[in-house]
Amino acid sequence: MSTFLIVVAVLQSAFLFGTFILLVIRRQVDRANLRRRGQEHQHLADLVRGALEGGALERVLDEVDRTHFDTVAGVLYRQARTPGDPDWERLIRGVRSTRWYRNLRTRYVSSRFWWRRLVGARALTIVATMEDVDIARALVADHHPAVKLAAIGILARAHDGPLVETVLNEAIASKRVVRGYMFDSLTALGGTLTPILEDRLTHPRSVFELRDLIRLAGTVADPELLDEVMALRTHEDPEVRGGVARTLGSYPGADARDALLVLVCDDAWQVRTRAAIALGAVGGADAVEPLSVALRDRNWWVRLRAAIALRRLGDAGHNRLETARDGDDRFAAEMASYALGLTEAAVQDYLG
Amino acid sequence: MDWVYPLVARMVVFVDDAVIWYFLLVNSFYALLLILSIPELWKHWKITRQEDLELYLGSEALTPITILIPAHDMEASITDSVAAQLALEYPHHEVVVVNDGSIDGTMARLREAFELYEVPPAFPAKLETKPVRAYYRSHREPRLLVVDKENGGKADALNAGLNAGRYPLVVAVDADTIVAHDALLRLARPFLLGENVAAAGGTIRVANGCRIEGSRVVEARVPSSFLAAVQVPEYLRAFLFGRLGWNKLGGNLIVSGAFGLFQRHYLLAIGGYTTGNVVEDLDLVVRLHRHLRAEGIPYRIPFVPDPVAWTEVPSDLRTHARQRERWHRGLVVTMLSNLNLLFNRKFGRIAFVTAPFFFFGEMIAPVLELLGYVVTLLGATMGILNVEMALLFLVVALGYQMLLSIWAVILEETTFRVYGRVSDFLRLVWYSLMEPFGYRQLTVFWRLWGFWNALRGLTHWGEMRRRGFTEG
Repeated sequence: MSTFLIVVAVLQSAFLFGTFILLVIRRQVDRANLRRRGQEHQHLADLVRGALEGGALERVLDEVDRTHFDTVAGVLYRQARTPGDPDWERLIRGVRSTRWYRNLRTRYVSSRFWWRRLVGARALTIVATMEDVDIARALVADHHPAVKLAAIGILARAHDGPLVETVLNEAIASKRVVRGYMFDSLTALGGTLTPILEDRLTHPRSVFELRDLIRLAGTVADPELLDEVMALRTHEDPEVRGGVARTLGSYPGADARDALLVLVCDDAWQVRTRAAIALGAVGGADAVEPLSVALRDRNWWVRLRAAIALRRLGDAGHNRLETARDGDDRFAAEMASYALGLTEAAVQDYLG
Repeated sequence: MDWVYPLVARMVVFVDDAVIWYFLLVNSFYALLLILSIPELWKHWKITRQEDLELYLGSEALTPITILIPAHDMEASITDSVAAQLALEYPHHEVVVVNDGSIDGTMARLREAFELYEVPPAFPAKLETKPVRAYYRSHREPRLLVVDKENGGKADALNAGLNAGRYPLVVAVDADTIVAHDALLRLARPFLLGENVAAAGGTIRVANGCRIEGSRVVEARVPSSFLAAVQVPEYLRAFLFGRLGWNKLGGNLIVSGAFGLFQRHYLLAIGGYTTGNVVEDLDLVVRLHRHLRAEGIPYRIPFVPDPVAWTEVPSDLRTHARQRERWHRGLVVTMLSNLNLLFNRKFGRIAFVTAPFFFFGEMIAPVLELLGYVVTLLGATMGILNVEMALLFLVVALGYQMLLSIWAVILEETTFRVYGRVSDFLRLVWYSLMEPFGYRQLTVFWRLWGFWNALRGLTHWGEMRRRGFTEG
């Protein structure tokens, strides 16, 4: 028994000692690699910068083929310019002819390992063109959420109707935060999204989908969508009506304001709250009276939002808040006093 | 009386065998957690290398966060702490400071530094707390709300903060904790990965000895004092693989009170923090599990390894004793008050894996370890146990854990490598080797003391002396 224990102890100690030695050596190697990569990074970054300022492309492309994959991706990511920038697009056209790009296509974006696809998706966000939309579609629908999330960035460089549809479907099927993140990318697309959204708002697959689509319509704020949104203001689902109220805050105009004046008296407090916020955004003298009523609402969220909306309506709203502060309704008075006491920055923070 | 000696001998051998098997099982379970933590650590490490936090910063998608800072007599550090939390990188966050009846100048310092002005309460108080004296907003920082209330303890202060906060996620932060500037963004990762997150925990690291500038840790170093330094591998063990391993095994039972993120509506649904419990974080998470399981709500309570908050650990024996006594007392109280959780089919893996481990593995471990020492010494003195058995006990109880600490250090070294100097890495290995000799026995003693006090029904916190961070 004791011999066994001694053998185990000696072996363990030798193994651990060897591991520590290896780890210390690894530190030194990593440090040397880091230094070397840093120099490579700097060199390539200088060349890329030169090429973007009209310099020769050949040396950059030679260097790209000689440099480590991650270093090239890192340099391009840091130097990336807005899609469409002529110098950047010239550089990207060149980069797409290198071995680095072929590696990206063959070894990364289609790898069976998610972490390689993640690297590939991220690299593709800076070098993708319309030729890559099929790959982008596959990456956006990837089963690994990190890959999916990284691939969304490709939209800014390359997208078509089917890819936008795929992203929209993925977004609707995702959890709230992921959905919000995907919607952010979709919103930036503007024109391509509008016809798809128009169609989906008219023929939604479910009420759950409709709630999300309304939200997206609010952030897109394309006047082309106003009719579809207005058509839903009497929808039976309060969340849809609430979404309509929130969305109408992004569509200043008489039609939107009239609809909001009705929605601020809705049966559901969520709808009244969102309508109050939206009325604060679209403004107008006729919003003061319904917001004053909302300031006496039985729900404190509605009161709070109505008070802040009144603060945004200039002198008329301010005067109404002062009247409420000195009035008989204790809850309205408290909320009016709170809103009047807020600094402008605090009001903006509420709206943020 | 010839029968006494053989009977004692048989009992000593039996107890020694039982204790050895117990430690073999418990430490093997830790080894399992270690193994399970490796793919999790790998996943997060790979993602962090490709993650562009600036993209998240520019997005409206991330759910706004309320940071709660309970403060009691924190005159010296409160303004720096609040300024540091306000400066954290996150698209939308507010800071709610709850002055819990401080008798020093905490409130005056806040009033002066942030130009506070009183506002009427603008929200319904859903949780009962000690009376609130006043609410203040700031002319300088629109995202700051200060609640001035009568003293009711940390849990009561957190409840007042929960009432006053307006965002769907809350992060409770100790006023003396330094949260890394990007920690909130990193802590939000499980939400971005589409998980049903009810709460999420980040890593707590030891701030003692680190170089701190402007309420930020700019260089991680292993502290020079033995007591503080030996806690570094202990924290690594607890966070890097302890909690990460639980991600795969049914969920964490602890989200650190010093830095943890929660869905506010769930906290309100369970009635907030329990006043009177000395480890409010453990109690809260256990009740959260119970509530979500009972309601059939799908959820996860993941631990994320890379968001970091730095805390000052006790560097004197007295404070250390009080902290460990309190932690164990809280564990015992929470476990005993949730006995019906054990092996209750309604609560799934929490009832069959997590809670039993905390009960049999964590809670009664100091009792059995003491028993092991006593029986081994007794057996060796009486000539009942041979040297091999005594060694076996030491190897299984202490050596195994030493090995786990070393592996925690190796995991840290091969992934995040927060400690940049080789000397720090070697010192961490050294302290992992030293932990079982003296320090371990001390903690066993403090934990036993906590066990005893829990059975006596003590509910006080005890004075916690902090030396404070040294800048530069």
